[in-house]
Amino acid sequence: MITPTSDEQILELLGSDQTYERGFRLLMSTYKELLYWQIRRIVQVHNDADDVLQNTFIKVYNGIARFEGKSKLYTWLYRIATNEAISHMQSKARQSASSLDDVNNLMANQLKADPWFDGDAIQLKLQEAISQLPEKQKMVFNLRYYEEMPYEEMSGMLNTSVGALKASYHHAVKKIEASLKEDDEQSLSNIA
Amino acid sequence: MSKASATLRDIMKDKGNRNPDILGKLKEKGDGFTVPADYFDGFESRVFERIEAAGIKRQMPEALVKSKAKRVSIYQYALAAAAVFAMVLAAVWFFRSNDEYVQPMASVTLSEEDIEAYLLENVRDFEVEQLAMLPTTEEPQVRQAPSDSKPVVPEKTVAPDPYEISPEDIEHILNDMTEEELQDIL
Repeated sequence: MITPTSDEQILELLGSDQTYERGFRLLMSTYKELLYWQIRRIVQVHNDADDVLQNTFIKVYNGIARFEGKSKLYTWLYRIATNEAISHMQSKARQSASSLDDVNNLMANQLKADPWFDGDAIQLKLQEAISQLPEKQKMVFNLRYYEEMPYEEMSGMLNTSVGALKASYHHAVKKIEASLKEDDEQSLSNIA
Repeated sequence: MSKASATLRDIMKDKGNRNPDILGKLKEKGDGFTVPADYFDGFESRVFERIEAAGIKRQMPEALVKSKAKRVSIYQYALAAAAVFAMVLAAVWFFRSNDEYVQPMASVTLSEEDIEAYLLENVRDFEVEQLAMLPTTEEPQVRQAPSDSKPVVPEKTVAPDPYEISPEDIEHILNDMTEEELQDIL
């Protein structure tokens, strides 16, 4: 995945005016896809993910001075991207909906209309179920289920103990399974 | 991404409807998200266009500033340690070899012939004024005396005169002279 050498190369290039732009381009090319998929699974719609990803890198450019090197560069970037995605969703909710149910319905409709989503009814149902999870459980579920990230690595990234992460994932899985089974007759009739 | 043929009902049937691995089966199908084919290709340029439009100034990561400072600090410590080590080593070496080192130096002397030969060989390297200041055999060399006393002039060395009359000779001469001869001299 990402090697420590890559971070060192990026930081070295960012240390000189002559190589700064090359360094920032290397930072983006190294992490853009990883961050895109993290963001996409939160905001779900491609255009929103694109906006959030660009905003994330602009914030990184503007705030790179605050990177102290205490964590991996990816961990630092992931936190910025996640915060940016959550802020985007909150802003969207404030603008166009008044309740959580309204937001979930809005997202489901947007996802159905997104030309860059070609999932079937079950996949759409899964995304709806994930979007209804609390933010922390959503993060844990996405990192574990899609990225297959070890709990130890996730622990450093989310500042949460391994035990708490396992509990979060367990609860998330139960909620999603319950949501999928809850109206499976309706879903299955639609699929069929 | 192709539409999956498996349905939730199939998944439930596969597992006997007791503990179906719904999420495991759905994971095999993927998440259904796609991106435009060339989306990531020009991404960096699009971000830089926005950065330039917003007039955001570049900054150096604090991690790098600290690491540079740390590197300088380590270099300075290493330099200081090397200097101290060299001084200690030189001191030990000096005191251990004091006798063998100082004695040969003290015994090195230059004869007048050596100095003269050196001056003749390198006479062109000296200024006229410098040569004029050199002592000659006719002129006695003046040694610098302490500031509160007069310069000390060494005694002039004179070669022995073969015709010089010693006191013994004078005594012999006087013994050989008569009283009349003595009266004539006086």
